[in-house]
Amino acid sequence: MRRFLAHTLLVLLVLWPGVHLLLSKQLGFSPWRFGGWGMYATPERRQPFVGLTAIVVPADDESMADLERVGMVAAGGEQLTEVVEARHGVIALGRGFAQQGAALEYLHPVLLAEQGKRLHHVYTFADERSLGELAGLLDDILIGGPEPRVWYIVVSYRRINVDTNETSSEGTVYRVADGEVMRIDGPEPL
Amino acid sequence: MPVGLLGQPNLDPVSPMGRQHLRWFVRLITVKVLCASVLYAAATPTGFSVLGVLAAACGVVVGWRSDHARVGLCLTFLALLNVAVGMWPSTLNHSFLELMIVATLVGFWPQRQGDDTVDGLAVRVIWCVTLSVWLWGGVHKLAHGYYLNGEFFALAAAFDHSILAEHLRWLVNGSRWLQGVEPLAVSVATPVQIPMSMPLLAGDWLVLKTLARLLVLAEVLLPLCVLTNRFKRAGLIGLVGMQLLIAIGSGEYDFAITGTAVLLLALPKLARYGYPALMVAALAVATMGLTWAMGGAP
Repeated sequence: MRRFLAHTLLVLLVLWPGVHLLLSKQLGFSPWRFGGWGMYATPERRQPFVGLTAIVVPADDESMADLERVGMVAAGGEQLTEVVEARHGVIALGRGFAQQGAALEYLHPVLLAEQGKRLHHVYTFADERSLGELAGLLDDILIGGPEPRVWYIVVSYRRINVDTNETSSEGTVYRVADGEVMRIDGPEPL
Repeated sequence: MPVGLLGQPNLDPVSPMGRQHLRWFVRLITVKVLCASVLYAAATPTGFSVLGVLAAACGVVVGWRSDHARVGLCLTFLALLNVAVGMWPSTLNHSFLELMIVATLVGFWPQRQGDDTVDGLAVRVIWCVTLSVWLWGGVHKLAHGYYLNGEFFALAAAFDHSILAEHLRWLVNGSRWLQGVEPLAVSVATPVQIPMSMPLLAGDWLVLKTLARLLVLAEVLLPLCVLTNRFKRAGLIGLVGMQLLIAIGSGEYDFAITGTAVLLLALPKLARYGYPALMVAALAVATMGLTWAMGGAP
């Protein structure tokens, strides 16, 4: 009986990572967790994770288009490479070797913002406690900033549930004109 | 080419030398679990985590002598289960491996006092599952592509403070020196700072991608080599070497110690010195981890 159990355990343990691999590809299981031995195969996501991104853009159409692109990059998680490339035709990390040095520049919202030049500032924070520091930074930009005087501020939260590997993004958009901040209703860019 | 389906280690668990090595293996695992329990209790101080440390400490003391190894292993199993459940769902993968190892030893350790002859099947189960860790690790990296394409190394080299990142930058800068290119200017981001653009050059990508692919190739091929009679020794030495390289290069000591301990079951000549050396390494790593957890220098 003991030998039968040992053989059964052996077969299950040796085959489980293969099943885990399929589940991680199909259902988004984290390869880092649950004994699948897939550490480092994807970016690690820790629990609890709340990512906060604040993007400040001038209020014009071109900037809003870039804003959507940044949103995709920020929310894409490990699917970033495929999603960004498919949706926007940009070369993202992992597919970018043909572009050599260009590859890293599309990875991070900040780098993307620098590339586009139209997203005035993008801030990423580790947690929501940094909101106070964000407020100070925004004061500097909005009070002492250059034209135009109308801006959008998009604050997005990314939450990752490592149980299911679901990534969710929630965005709040504010319109700032002449020093007044107003929350915008209706469809949000993110 | 004959292939041992269960991956026969060279260890004969019935022979005196085999029994001695198994005893050292058990001691090492119990000490490792004690270290993990202490670190967990330092990070998450609760009644349960303190109880876990006590159980693990008793496991080391009782399990040190083979007469009572089974009782010691049972206590170690409970301590490890406490850490694994406490960290759920972020339980580290090597905790699952160690749970399997300890559970197998508990199940097969002889109940008669004074008898320390472990069934060879137990050793083969531990051996085979551990080999599958490397193999499946490589397959996952092939399937997901993030590591395979060098992204993991590139991001570390560009933005991290880790031991791995430092070593990768040495590698990249060595390559740049050979090419006569300026060294990497690194921009490391803190939570409230914005990392600046830092494009890698084609040569850097080539170096990082080649390293990543060589490691993936080694992870997939070496365990398969170990399962064959002809390439078994080469595979074993390759795996030990790879584990050492990864441990020194990235600071990932935890799995390296457990993995090497299992490999030593098949390398009797190395095992004599290997297990005490791994014991010292485990204690040193735990001391460093504890210093860091208590707010000291890492």
